[in-house]
Amino acid sequence: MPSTARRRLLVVLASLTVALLLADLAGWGIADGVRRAGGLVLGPVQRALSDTQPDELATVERENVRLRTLLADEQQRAADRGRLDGLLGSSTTAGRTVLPARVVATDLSPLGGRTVTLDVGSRDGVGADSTVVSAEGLVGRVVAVAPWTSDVQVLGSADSVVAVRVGPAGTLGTVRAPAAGDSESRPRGSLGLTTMAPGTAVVGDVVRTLGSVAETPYAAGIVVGTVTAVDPDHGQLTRGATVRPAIDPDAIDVVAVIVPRPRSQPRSTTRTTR
Amino acid sequence: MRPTLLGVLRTAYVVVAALMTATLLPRLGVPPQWVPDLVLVGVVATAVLRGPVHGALTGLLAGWVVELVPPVGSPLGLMPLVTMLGGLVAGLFRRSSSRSWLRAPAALLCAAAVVLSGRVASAVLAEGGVDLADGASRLLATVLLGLVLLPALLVVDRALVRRRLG
Repeated sequence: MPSTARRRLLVVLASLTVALLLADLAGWGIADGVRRAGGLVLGPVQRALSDTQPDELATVERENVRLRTLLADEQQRAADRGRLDGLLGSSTTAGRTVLPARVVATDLSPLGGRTVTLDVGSRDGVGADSTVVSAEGLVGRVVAVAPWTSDVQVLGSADSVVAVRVGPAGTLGTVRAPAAGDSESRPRGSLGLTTMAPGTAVVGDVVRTLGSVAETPYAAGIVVGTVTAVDPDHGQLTRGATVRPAIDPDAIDVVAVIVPRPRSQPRSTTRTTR
Repeated sequence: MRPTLLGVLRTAYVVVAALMTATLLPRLGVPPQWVPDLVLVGVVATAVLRGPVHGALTGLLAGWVVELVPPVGSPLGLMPLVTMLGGLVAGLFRRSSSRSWLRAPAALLCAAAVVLSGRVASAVLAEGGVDLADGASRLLATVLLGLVLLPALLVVDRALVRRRLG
């Protein structure tokens, strides 16, 4: 080939290469086509080359990876079962009809508090305002129900108020999220307890739900938390206290929805002996 | 243009070398930073005998073979251009008068340096950082292999040309 022709060929090919480079940088499809062609033609050759020594080691490694995956699956399943057993065997669900569920989504409200979504819905028998508990205690109540999922307002949300009994004496009170205008500062994640003046909470008292008509929205006697601090007496009508919730709102996993059982029989009167 | 034996051999060498560099050598346990650039050795062997234009043309075509062997390079077309420059530089070492055996390795060293700087530049542009030690060891491996391989390739090339097969 004469030298000028060769030079011309070089220029043409180099320009084509530069054009293809620019096309690839610009993200045009033609570069992908070239790429695919390269893989199509030379890929089988490479496969043949790299399979020159079919060794035991590769087979064993593959098997190892498969077994590892299987083991991880089984461990996950066992952990789930353990959590479920703990939930069903705990005092919060004892004697109640419950529907096991697990958290599939969670959302932090800008007003504070948290909403979680459970994988059970109206088709499973969940109704609005059902109580949701975990093995440790009260989680919250169902606020919205879809056919296959339901949304739960977790304890400590801005507009959740729970009527409670405090301590062995059973003093009445309410538990809510610490309000912005609260006179006392409370640690993050804790709840505010308000009791009527004569009865006061003591540090270490267990706070349980008071219960409502037909077990909605809160069933009776479920642990809400423990009193960790009592506000000083300023002579108000009500006394405040800080409650540490029994559950960790950031780590809710397996929970149970309590299926309410409304009374159908009138309660019989009892005559006491003198 | 009739395909000559030399042209067929050269094409076969480039394809086999590209496949070896990409597939066989890593498979045989050669650490990636010590895999020599076998294709570049072939390009230099042709370029030192025939000059810059021929070297650049061979480098461009061989670079395309390297580029198209999976894993296909990205951005597509950079490697052919860099190899073309390498072939061009190696072609500048053609001297019909001098027959020093050091000429070909020196050409290979320069071509490998061109290819390395092209790689480093693209890596810096794409990732913002580069491991120079890796590149340097690849260059060293290429030149060391070239010291052995280049004389053999040149002898074969000259013999084929003498028998009017190239």
